[in-house]
Amino acid sequence: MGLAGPRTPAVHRGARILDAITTGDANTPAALSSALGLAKSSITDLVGALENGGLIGRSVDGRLRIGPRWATLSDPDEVLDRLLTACARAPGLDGHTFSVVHLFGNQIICLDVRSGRYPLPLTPRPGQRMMAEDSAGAIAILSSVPLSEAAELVRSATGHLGLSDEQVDQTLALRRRQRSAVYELASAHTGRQFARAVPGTRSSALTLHLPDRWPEPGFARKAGRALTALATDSEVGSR
Amino acid sequence: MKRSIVLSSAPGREGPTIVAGMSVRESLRQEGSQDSVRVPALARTVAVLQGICDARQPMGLAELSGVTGFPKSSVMRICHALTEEHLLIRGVDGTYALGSRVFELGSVARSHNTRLRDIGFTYPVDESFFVAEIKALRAEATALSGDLQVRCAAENKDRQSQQIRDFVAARVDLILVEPVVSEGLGAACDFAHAARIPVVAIGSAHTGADAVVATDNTRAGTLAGAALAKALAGQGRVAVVGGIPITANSDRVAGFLGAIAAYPGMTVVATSRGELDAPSGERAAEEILATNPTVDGFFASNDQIAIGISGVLSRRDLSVPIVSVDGAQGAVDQIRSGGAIIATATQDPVALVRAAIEIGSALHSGLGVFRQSHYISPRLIDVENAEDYQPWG
Repeated sequence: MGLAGPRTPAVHRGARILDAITTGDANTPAALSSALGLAKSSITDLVGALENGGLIGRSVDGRLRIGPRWATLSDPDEVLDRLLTACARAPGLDGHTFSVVHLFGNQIICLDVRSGRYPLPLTPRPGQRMMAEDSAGAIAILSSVPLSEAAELVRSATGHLGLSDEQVDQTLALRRRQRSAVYELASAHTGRQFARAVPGTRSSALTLHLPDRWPEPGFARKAGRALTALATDSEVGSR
Repeated sequence: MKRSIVLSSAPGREGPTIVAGMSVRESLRQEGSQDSVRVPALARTVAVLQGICDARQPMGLAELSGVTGFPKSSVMRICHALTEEHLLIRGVDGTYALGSRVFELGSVARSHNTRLRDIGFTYPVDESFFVAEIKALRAEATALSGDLQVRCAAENKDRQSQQIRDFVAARVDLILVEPVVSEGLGAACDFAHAARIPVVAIGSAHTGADAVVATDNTRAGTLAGAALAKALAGQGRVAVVGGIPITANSDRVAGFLGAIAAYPGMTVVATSRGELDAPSGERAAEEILATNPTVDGFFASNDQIAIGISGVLSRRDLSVPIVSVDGAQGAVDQIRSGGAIIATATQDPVALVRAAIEIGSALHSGLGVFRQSHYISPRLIDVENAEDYQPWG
């Protein structure tokens, strides 16, 4: 453990509690005390502080679980609940995988996933980062705003990621000249995707991930219509 | 001016809020819980994560220190620890952004807490118990920042079926049903399932619901039966007044009969059926007493029926004990004042609603539920504990 380890043990102990709850190893204070080898009084204090901050919560039967604050921290635009729920109800797209991605410099961050049952070249996972060039979502985000705004979006992470001007230009070059509701990409790394920018957000896109060989003819048109409907229905403040 | 950072324990619910101009530390001192004081590093962790989230861009230590009001050295230690835990990621310029673990945990939380926004609730009649449920539902909907649509079925099965279909057409996220019947709502529920909208029964099971949340009605009937047996010293002629044809009422009656079966001196001399209001109890009592003038005790399926029976007994100047189920204000008032109603087994509309919302949230988010039936234990309210009990109605 580095510099911070010995000085902030509560943070690391809190993280171990989150791990234990997430994996299902322990979901009561007594079980946490046993699993982590900490005194019950310490667990009581830690659980109380985590609960007070919304980092853990309790189900109806009193069992501990991951708290609602993580959902809001990872979704400041508050679009994921509605969007991913709508995906589950999307007619004709049953079994497919959807993700919502956020543009971060020349990368995209996967905010959350509605996993389907079809095998994909790369299975998207929450928190996963990948290069913008491998994401239809990045193309959709960059193409749906004016160039100046796209440049601002990419440059907002320039310092953090250490991007050169050339890398910024390469990212902006992903913009499609012809604007469209839905953008398609076939990437060797991440497979075939359709994506649409999420209205009401600055830098998020809904992505539909397809297996390499998807046999259904005319699917692109159907996917486009479905993504448009989903993104529009889920627009921030639409209800 | 410092940015506003919310430290509430659950987004959408009330909690300590850091207002503009007030540092996180000042707010914690004023409003923070004892747990936060005992583990200040975790309270600071929340503030640091929220600060970066609100900024929507990477933040340096100095900026984070300014936003949170914590010393820079403290923010640095927190950020280092959070980076080791993959809750933050440090950039080449020393700024911090949210790390992959935040999104992983966000996904887990979302699967538990997928936010319900639009909830439809259909109930049998404007009776105090359902009014209490509606009040609890409105509180839950407000906490969820959601919308609640409420429809009264007027004890009509076809009307309730249509209301379920209307909720589907309105694309609600969850349909809650206090059923007027146990059978006959299946087709409407199938319509909801086709639209992938979960249906949760409250109060009583019905065909087609994905899950049911109810009082342990058998236990409630058992408690009431034991109370009447005690009042009659195990001897007497009793009358049973059931309710509308739902499982909750048949369970209560079964529980009552099971309890008095242990007393050979107790016999059921009359049965009748009431509905959800006091007049139905009056009618049932008049019918029973017309043919059985020497009834020693009554069981009523709900407190409204019991209140109706009590009125009839009072007019006839009869001193006959009544036991029932609900724990409503009117019944508890009689218990406290020495009226005909001597005991009632409680229902808890707030607990029912909360459990239904939680199960509905899990179903709405695509998760299954471990138990499709959730039964809440009742307690018996009698003269011994009525003063301490807070009725819901």
